[in-house]
Amino acid sequence: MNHSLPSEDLKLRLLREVESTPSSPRPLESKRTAWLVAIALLASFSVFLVFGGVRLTGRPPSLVLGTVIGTATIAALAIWAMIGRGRAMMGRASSWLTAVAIASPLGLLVWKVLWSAQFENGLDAWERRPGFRCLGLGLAMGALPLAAMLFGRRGTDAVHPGRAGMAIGIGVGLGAATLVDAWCPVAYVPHLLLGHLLPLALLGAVGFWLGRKILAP
Amino acid sequence: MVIEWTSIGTFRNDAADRAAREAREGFPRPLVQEEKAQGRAKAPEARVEPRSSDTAADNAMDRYASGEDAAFSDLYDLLAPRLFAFVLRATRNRSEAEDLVQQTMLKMHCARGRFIRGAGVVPWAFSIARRLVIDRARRSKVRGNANDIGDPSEVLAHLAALDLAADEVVHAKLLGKIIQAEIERLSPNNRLAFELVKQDGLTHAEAAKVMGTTVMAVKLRTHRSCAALRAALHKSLDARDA
Repeated sequence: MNHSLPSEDLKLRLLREVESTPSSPRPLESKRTAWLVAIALLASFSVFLVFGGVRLTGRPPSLVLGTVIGTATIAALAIWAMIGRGRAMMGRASSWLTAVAIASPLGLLVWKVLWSAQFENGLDAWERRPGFRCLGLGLAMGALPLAAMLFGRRGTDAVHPGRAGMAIGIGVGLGAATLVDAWCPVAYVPHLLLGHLLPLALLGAVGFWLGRKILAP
Repeated sequence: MVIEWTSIGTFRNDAADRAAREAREGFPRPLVQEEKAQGRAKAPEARVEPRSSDTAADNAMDRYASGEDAAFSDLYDLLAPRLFAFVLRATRNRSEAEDLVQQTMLKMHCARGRFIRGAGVVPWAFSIARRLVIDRARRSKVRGNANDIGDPSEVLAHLAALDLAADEVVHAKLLGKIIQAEIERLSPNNRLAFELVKQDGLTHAEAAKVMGTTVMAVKLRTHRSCAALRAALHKSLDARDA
């Protein structure tokens, strides 16, 4: 018996167990995940339309367009940096995920404030708009895609499932924030913190919690 | 203590070979010098190419993920011995190690449909095994107390087969003990980086994936570990010579 090798019967035991444990092959799983994510994105967009879709609300079109393009760019970069895995199962390093998770919402805030400041009354306070509706919209649009993406990656991240879940949550939140920016005319900083950034933090926190349960093998 | 024997074996008897060479040359050579002499000085850069067994394992996993059930057996043959060595070092208990290898392979089976085409299966498998080891250690709160990992006579027989003089064998055993003691003293992260790269044969990039850190961090930790081992060896050999 070679003591540096597993025993002979381990393979037999394992093969028996594998036979009795169902698991879907990749073609089936990919199709299922693609459908799930597509349905979740459609549902999110439906929520956006139900809330009223793109609204100018007295804003110049260039303000809306610039805000949305900037937010979409930050979201796309952050999603690539945090959710993209390339040809690897474990995604990026924890430090990288944490850095992007902190930097991208701050980038969103800075862009929104800087771009809105270019326009007259762009940063005015809206007393009757503390941000709860934006908070609700962001969470409603982010919840389903977060669940679908976590489900699509279940059991695959043994290194940092919590942070990977957080990254997915914030990435999804950034995508939702792009649509929220097309809907919300307010760029008053306290409103942005409550209505536009808090959903990212909450989705990130939920993603972290669920990630540890779902993404860990 | 049994672990030294395994370590000498895991080091692929480098210690014994080195001891024999040192005995001929009359002085110990530092590890870096040793690696240079063997054309391994640029080891990190030279090892960017995956090992053939890694490629074979990637192919097997890819076939298995695509639905070819028979590929699991090949995957087991390619991965299980490496995973077992890795887990055995952490648990020091054969039955626990086998149990963890079984769980690792089962988890890979359950997640096969989500395996990314073209991804490396080796770092993924090691990361799952590492997580299971950590989970088990947390549950038991005891790290390796069983020490039933094997028969030291096997390593002794191997050393004997090298046709070394008795003092060389003793010297090799001593070096193995020193190395193992120093490895035990390394910080957990440095030790893991060292074990993954130097003992399990992963590239720095693969080890970085397993540890969830950057390649630079793994290189740094491996370097620190090697430096600590070198210093310990020098110190003990100087003491012996004195």
